[in-house]
Amino acid sequence: MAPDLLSQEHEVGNAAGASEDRSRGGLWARVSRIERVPIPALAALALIVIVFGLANSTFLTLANMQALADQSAIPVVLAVGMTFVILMGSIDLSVEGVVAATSMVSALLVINDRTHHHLGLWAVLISVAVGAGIGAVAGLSVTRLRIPSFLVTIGTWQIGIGIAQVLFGGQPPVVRDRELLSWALKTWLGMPRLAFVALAVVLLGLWVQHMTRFGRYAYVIGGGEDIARLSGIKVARFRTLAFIVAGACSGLAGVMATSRSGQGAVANGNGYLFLTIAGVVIGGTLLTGGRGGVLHSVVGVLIMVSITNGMILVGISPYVQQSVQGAIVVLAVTATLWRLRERLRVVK
Amino acid sequence: MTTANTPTAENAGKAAHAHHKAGEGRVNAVKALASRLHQHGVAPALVLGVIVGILALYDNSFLASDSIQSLLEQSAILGLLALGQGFVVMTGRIDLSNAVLASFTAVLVAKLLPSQGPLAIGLVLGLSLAIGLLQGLVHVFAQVPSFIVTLGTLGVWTGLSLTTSKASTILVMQHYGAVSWIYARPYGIPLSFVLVLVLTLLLMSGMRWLRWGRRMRAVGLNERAAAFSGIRTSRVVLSAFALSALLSGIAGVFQIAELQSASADSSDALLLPAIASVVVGGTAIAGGVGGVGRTLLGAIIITVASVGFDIVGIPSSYQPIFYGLFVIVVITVTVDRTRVTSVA
Amino acid sequence: MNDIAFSVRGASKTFGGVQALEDVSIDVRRREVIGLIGENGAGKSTLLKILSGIHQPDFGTVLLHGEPVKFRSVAHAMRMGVAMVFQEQSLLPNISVAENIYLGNEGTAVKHGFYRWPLLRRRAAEKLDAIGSQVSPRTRTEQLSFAKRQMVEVAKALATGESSHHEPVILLDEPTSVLEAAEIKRLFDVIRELKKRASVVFVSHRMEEVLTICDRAYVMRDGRCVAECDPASVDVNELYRLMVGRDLTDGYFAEDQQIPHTGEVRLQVSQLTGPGFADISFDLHAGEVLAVVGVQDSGRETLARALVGAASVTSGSVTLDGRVVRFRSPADAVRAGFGYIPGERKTDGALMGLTVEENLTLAHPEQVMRGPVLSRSLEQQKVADWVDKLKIKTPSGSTPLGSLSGGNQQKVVLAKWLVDPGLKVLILDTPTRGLDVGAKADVYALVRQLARAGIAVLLLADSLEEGIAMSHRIVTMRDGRISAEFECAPGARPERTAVLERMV
Repeated sequence: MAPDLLSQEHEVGNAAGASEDRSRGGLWARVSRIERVPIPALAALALIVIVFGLANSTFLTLANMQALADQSAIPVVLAVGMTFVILMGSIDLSVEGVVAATSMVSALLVINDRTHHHLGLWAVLISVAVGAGIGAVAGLSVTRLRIPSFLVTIGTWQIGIGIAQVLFGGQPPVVRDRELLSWALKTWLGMPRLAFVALAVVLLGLWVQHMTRFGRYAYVIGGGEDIARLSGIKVARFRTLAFIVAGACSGLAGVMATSRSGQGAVANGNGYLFLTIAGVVIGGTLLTGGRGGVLHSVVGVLIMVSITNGMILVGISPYVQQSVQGAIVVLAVTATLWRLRERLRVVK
Repeated sequence: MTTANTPTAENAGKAAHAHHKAGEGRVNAVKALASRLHQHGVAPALVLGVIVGILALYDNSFLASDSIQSLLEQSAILGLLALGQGFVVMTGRIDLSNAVLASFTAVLVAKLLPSQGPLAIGLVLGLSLAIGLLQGLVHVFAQVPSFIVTLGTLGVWTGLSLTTSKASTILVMQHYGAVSWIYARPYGIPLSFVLVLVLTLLLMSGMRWLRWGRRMRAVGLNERAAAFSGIRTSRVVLSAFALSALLSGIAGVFQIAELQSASADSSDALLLPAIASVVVGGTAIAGGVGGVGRTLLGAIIITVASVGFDIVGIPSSYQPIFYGLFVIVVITVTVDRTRVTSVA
Repeated sequence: MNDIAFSVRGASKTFGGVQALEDVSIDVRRREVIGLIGENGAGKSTLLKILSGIHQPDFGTVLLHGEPVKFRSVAHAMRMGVAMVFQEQSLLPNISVAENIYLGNEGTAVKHGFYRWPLLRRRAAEKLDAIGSQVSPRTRTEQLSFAKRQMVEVAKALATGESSHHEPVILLDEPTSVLEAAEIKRLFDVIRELKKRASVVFVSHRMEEVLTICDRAYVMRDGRCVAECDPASVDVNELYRLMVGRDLTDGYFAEDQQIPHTGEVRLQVSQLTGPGFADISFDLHAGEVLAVVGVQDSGRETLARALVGAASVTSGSVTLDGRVVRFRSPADAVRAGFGYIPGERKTDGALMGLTVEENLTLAHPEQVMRGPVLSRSLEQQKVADWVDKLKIKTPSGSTPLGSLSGGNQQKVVLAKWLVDPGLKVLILDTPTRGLDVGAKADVYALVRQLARAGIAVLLLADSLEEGIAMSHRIVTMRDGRISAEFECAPGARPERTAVLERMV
């Protein structure tokens, strides 16, 4: 046993030795290769917080921290679901539609001024189920009908908007359910309760990512679908599941949006698609799949929310936000894909 | 959306080839005839005929010249966006920004017309062309998938049109005459549709008679083989994106002519109907197969279908659900499964 | 110890009318290392694909421990205890070593969908120990060197193979092709470890390796198993002779049509270096056929691509008719008078969805244009000419290329370059691969004709015979460099074994 141990140590020492290290680039390259923790994204977040904190004294106040937590809660939940889809190399563009639909569903099922339902917590579960159902339609269309995910989810985006419009029927349902409204209005430990909902989702997401077959196979499928298939993994099943998970997260986000705005509205989902995708991408979860994770996406969303919040504090028109987020998506993806450029490489 | 030469894909190709060889003969002849008819856009024409027939039976005023005129007029803007999208799809790409770009250019035209007069149109069209080239360049040079580039620019142009319009509707008072003629109906002929038709014919003959058209199809069918044949594939792709954006710009001008006003999101909702027009016209989402004229037919079908909703009495709030399901179903029916290697 | 673990009896396989494997029988005994050697296209990889469950044989049976089996897939074969170590590695870079080793085969280490990490890592460590590798199961796979990843790959094959009831059979597909000498030595140690608990099939084109590590070896040629030998007592020259085989019938390569080239230097390549090849220098004369031969990964495909601007060049120069050229894309090369036929006809060469006419005029549409527009009549007339001249069998010019036979497709792909009267250099990457014998002879005759017309031809030959018989001169490539050059006049062709020795 002893010689074995010795040689193992020798091996470890060798791996960390200078000869191998040199071929792997400098300190930054090595640090950014630690993938469990999104170090570059965390550094960027810290930088942004410092810059805005210096530029505007209100940025680092408790009130603004509460506002940041409140603004981040929904996109963070969306990003957790989206992460699994993107890890597998697909994309889900339907978040705004699903949020619209489930926001309307949840508003109509709790105590409100249009219907006589008062399902309470059941309304939350039903909304999550509706989201998961729309996700299932998308997932099955991608895996069974073999349509690219970005097209399918543009379709389910519109389906979600349509469901919301049909339910809307000309008059927004105003929520009177105290419990649901308290999510957004009341605080725990000085932070809005919605933020704790988001925190719970993040922790659950991290656990799923690390401990479950679904979570691990998200990396496997994104890293090499052919290898996954050769290894006998049922890729279609897991990919469908990813869309269902993303839909469920969007469903929960819809309930949260209802809680925040106090009513069901078609527009409750507006603006979240770019915030989420930009967040996921900038956090270091690659759109090509297999890289990144829940924590990366969450940090990315926090970066995006801080930028948005800071821009408003500095007095930049809120209308420009979408432009900035759109540009960030393109720039971030370009930066991450840049090294893959090659002559005659076909990218569509 | 990267095509990789995976061993499995190769084997599948071999298997398909062997299979193909086994069933040659009569089947081929029938297939050849079917594909020839298909190439000439018979399928969408048939679909259009059926829908029009049903609607005419349902409501006999549907075939009155008045309603046909307004129908063709309504299809003009969608037709322009669909034509542009059709070229991009022909190369196997997608342009998610074209509808939003039409909104943006409409806002710009509305802003510039009072001060610049007719020159505003030229300026805005020039800008759209430049925007298309920019989007195409980022895509081909940085090798970023087109749906991501145009998703990002979708956000960029949305933000810019909100900023430019300050999120309110801009009414065009001065120099409206510079564009209003587009929606004239001399002798009952909707000029707007005639313009789109002329544009379609021009583009059709370009596809048929210029090397560019053939290269476009070659790039869509097999980009690597096209490149090895000496085609500058990135230029071809670039031209599709430039054309798409230019047509979005024209759509923006048309929108000012039609509504005499612009708001930040007036054409945004046309993205999915435009994609639906392209696929219902029979252009394969994988690229290479399709045509210009049939895309216009597709746009007319979509317009008729949405008018049909009103006639049949379905509220317009159901329309997004319809478009969403419709696109999924039509792509499912038309997609060529032998050419799709991996779907993510 | 002599019982047979795994065997193939009378296996045959054809692809699109081409016989890839013909009546091959081999036996693998328990705890034995079997070598498979042969040239490119001898049938090694087809046999391996049948053994590993990627292909099923058209005829013949596969026997595992005496029982006939039909592998439905690689995963199925693995469950039955036959595991392949792929040449292009099948490990995922972005997950841990332990996950890779048990991918899709986690067993009780994943219970009800939840991972039991300590168990998974312990089992992985056991497998790694078994082959004497000290890689940590926690390491993310991409952090390992290629050689260490290959050890993990072997551990994975062992793990999947051992999940069956029998001792596993491990297939190694050209495992040494990108390893350094020291790494190869370690791999051999691993194979010796493996031998204590498994049977091994080792495929290589490097003769000395097979002789070193194998207990027994099969020599393959032209899809057949031509000999079985004992490495301890075999004569190396005899082995080379077995690999290259017999003489082909006269006339097949149209050798009587070869005339000495008198032309001046058309293409001068000097010290060309790029990813995959280095320090390549040669002259190519007008009217000359220069054959480049080499095994897989010899770098010749990349070199061909670099010459037409499809792959990048880091240093060195290419001179065409005395002027230095630098192509940034194939389009540049085509405009300078180059033609290129890629190795993968189906994916890179032919546009199956376009018609014969459209394919033929795709590279040089200017030949069928009047002013700025394409002339249909001119096109039809030109294409009809070429269809006639090359005896392309097609119902009409407007038939989609995909419905023609492989040989006729290839003729169209060739004709695409011939329509250009300014064609100077033609680079052919294995233009006869996958064609039947008749179509091959047609292509050979055509290449002769082109050479006589003064075109400089660079031929990446599909087989050694083809390279020797078709060319004026032959260069061998090994590991991205030119290893030898042979003059190749009719009647004074170099010995095949001599050429082969410089390739492998």
